[in-house]
Amino acid sequence: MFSLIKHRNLALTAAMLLISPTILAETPEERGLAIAIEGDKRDQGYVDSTANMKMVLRNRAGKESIRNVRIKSLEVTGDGDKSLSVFDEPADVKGTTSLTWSHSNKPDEQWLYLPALKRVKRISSKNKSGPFMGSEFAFEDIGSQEVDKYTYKYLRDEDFESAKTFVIERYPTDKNSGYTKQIAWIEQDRHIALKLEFYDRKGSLLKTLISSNYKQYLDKFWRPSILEMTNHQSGKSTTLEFSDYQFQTGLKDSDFSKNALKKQK
Amino acid sequence: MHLKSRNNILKLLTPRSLLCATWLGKIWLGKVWLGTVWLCAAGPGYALDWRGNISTEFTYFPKSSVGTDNWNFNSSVAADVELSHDLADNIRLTVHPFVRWDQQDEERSRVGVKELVLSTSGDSWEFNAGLATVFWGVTESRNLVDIINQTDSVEDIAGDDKLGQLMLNFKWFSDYGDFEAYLLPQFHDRTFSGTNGRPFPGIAVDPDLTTYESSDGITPNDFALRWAHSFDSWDLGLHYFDGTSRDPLLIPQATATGVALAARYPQLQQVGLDAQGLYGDLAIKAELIHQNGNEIESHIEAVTGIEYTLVGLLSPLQDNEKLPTQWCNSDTRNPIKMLACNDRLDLGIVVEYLWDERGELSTHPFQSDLLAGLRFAFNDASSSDALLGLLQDLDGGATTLSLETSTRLFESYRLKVLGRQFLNTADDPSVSALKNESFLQLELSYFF
Repeated sequence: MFSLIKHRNLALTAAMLLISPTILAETPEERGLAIAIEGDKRDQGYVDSTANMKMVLRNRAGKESIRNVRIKSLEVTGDGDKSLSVFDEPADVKGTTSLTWSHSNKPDEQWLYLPALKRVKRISSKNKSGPFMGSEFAFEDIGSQEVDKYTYKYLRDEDFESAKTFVIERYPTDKNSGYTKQIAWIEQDRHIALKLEFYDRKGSLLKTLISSNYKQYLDKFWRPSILEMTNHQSGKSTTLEFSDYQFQTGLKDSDFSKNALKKQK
Repeated sequence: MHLKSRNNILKLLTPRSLLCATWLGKIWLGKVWLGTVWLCAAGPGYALDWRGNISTEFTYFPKSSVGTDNWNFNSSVAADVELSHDLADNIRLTVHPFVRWDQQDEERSRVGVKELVLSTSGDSWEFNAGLATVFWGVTESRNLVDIINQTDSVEDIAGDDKLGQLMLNFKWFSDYGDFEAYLLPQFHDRTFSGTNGRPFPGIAVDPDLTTYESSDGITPNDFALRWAHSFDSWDLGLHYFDGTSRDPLLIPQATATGVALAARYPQLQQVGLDAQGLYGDLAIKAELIHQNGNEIESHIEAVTGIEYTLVGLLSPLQDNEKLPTQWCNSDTRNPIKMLACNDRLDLGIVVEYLWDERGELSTHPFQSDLLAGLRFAFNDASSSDALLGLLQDLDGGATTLSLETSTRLFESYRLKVLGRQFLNTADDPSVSALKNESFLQLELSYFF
């Protein structure tokens, strides 16, 4: 469910890969798309995963604020993934749970469970650019990354911290996105993103995300342990630390239903 | 951080040993005195989960009450904790005791249990037995369809606080929607402020005068059925309820010490509909009920309206080339810059119409009222928010202004400020006693 962690599979885009033109005739746009599709393809078949996420919010003066969230994800073949997040900290939102069904061809569906009121509330998923839990991550930065949610352009090959990377630009197709473009540094061997720059609606550099400490699970899936987002305009930053990654834990579709929202521990 | 590590130690200890939780004290369900309850749960391998808070509340009423006791300042301390523990695979016990001490109102000082429920579930079903809380509804101002639990109005007159309801509940989840059935073998009277409590409604409710239409009194055979389903952008719910009205008729009655209100709980049949449509940033909401009974005139009530959210209200300012980034970043303490440069602020606009077919004969003051509200979400690290509301009786009646704002302090605390002002009460007999009851309240809560 996290940007740069994986890219979703789509029958359509997979088919496009099969019929993609030869290298000789490739335009920068086609090459950018091919790189995105390859990353997506390599992440297919993870089935489900669970992880603990610690968020450390830092303001300009360096004052820290902590959030702890448990995340469950379910792969959905032919559509966007489903994910469930249970908040453990801060204590005043303890037990609050959010459920997202992301979709590739229609708006995502989202619900929020408020334990103090025993209330499940359906919420708008149109708010892409808003901050997630007051952090420097926008909802669109942590949402499910479908290949179709961007258009692409290959820029160049470049060395990034001694790794060979593709540098590609991607442009959000959603008009509610807070960005005009993003530039990604994608490691050529493993097809994982190491760095991502976000450009705001004015076209100026807003944020930089560095993904590091990648670990491989089930001999296939690469996940970063640390995501560091820096906002260049506000001077604030947010670090996400992932731990306890588990794959193919046997989660079912019914674990991602509206009724399952109330039953999380 | 200290708390977190302590939590972990407790979580490590509990599964390996016999877990015993003991609550001693006055625990009451309805008028049934349960005396001392001793509860012990043994469950090797299962951890105890909890969420709770301790809060301190200070309330100031600038004007003196029309009631017998004159006081302007109140303080109160409360604690509640919701504990859940898996007794076995897929059998969970939830216990939610609470306690409040109130300086002025003896009805508000109490110890009780909000939940004491056993739950079990499968992929497509769920079963709950015990004292539990269920929420139905979609609107902001008033939830007509939310009939299972009794309102705990001694906590707050807004009606959002609920008492636990004894129930046997079965839910079945299918492709045709969720089907729910409730057996409700016990009825709980609505709580009311005592003669010393404020906001004082003019005449106090005397609990000794309470009567029920049903000869079964507080042990009725109430039941409810519900169906709920989602269709693309719409969530729909339909329900049927047969039983004791949660909303009493309040009848003035002469007593040895003067006039008091007697609560009368009639029997009723209710059918209701709740619907919410979500179109991007616009939510359309409606709740509709029809009630009928021997002592209740057959009638319809409705609450309907919209909520529109302006996401990143001021971000167009940020996107404007004429507002340079440097200007925003040069002095972050300047309040004008703090506002103009906050591209994170979301503003929700809520408009709802409340209606009761009975008009002036309604048992509540919302026979034809309009709610206009502004909800600010600052989306900052402290999750600050504010809700400004105006409730206007459209039949030339009272105006209620309310402001509710809160922010997080020191990671685990939340500070809330609540103000309510009652205006134009003179022309509205149902709320005329509230003219001196405007108040300002400060609440500091510690969460764990």
